[in-house]
Amino acid sequence: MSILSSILRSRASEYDCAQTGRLLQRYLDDQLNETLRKKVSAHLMMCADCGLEKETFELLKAALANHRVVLHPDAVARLRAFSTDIVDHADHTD
Amino acid sequence: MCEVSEYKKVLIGFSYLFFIRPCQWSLRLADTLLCVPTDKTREELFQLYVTGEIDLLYRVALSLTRRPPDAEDLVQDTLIRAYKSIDRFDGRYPRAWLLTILRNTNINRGRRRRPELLRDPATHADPVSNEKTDRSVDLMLDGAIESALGQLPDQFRCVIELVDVGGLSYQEAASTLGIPAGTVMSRLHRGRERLRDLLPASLLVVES
Repeated sequence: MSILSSILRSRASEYDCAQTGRLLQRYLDDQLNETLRKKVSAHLMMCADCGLEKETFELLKAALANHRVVLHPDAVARLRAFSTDIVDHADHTD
Repeated sequence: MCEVSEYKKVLIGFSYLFFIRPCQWSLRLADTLLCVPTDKTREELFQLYVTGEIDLLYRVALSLTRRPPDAEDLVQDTLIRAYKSIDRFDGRYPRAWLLTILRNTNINRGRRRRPELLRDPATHADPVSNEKTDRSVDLMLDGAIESALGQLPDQFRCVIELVDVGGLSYQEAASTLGIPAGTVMSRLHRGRERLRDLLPASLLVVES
């Protein structure tokens, strides 16, 4: 079983790593069609290196999403008031 | 030679009658169906398409200007422009329309402000980070990301901030930056790889 697994793993790495590398970011952004997504997904299951690469970028993406600034409520409130003011007093736009 | 010309004229006539005219009618019909309902007032259209996007506009403006006061001014100018032009907006892709106005406004403001490049460092230094609150993410990684983003060339940093940090789609980021969506994608992917290379490997260890 382990021999079969290593053969499959080596074949996956040998034939698909470069292609997976080219498609990985689009895979992470959910921009691939179903066929390509399945193909990349299957390779990621088999290839430890590509799987690690995928998990690293997933971690990076999650950290970037958490990096989002919390908007200052006062600033947002001022902008909402400004927006209301535009609607109420159209003269301000002239 | 003369017969060929006549034949061409007939062919063009038929093409016009049976292909071009129907296409024009279809486009006109599609425009009618998709366009903004004319019974809405300018104020109602503004409330419908703009008011709900103020958070998004401010977030993107912060990415573009890096200074909260500038971002606020930029959003105010954008709101005024959006109000003035909303009666010409066809109702399709409101976010892309708004982000395009934001981009153009920012470009015009940049032209006006260019002579005053010397800024007070006290007001320029890292104002955005002051707005952060507690997050569950590892603070070391967060700090490293802040530093690594600062080292990225602007073209990559901007796209990462808009898409990965700000949550915009490729198309929305493309409208904001005035570049094709394909360019957004390639810059994003290259930017992420550069960012990964800039971060200490120990911070991106995946727990098994």
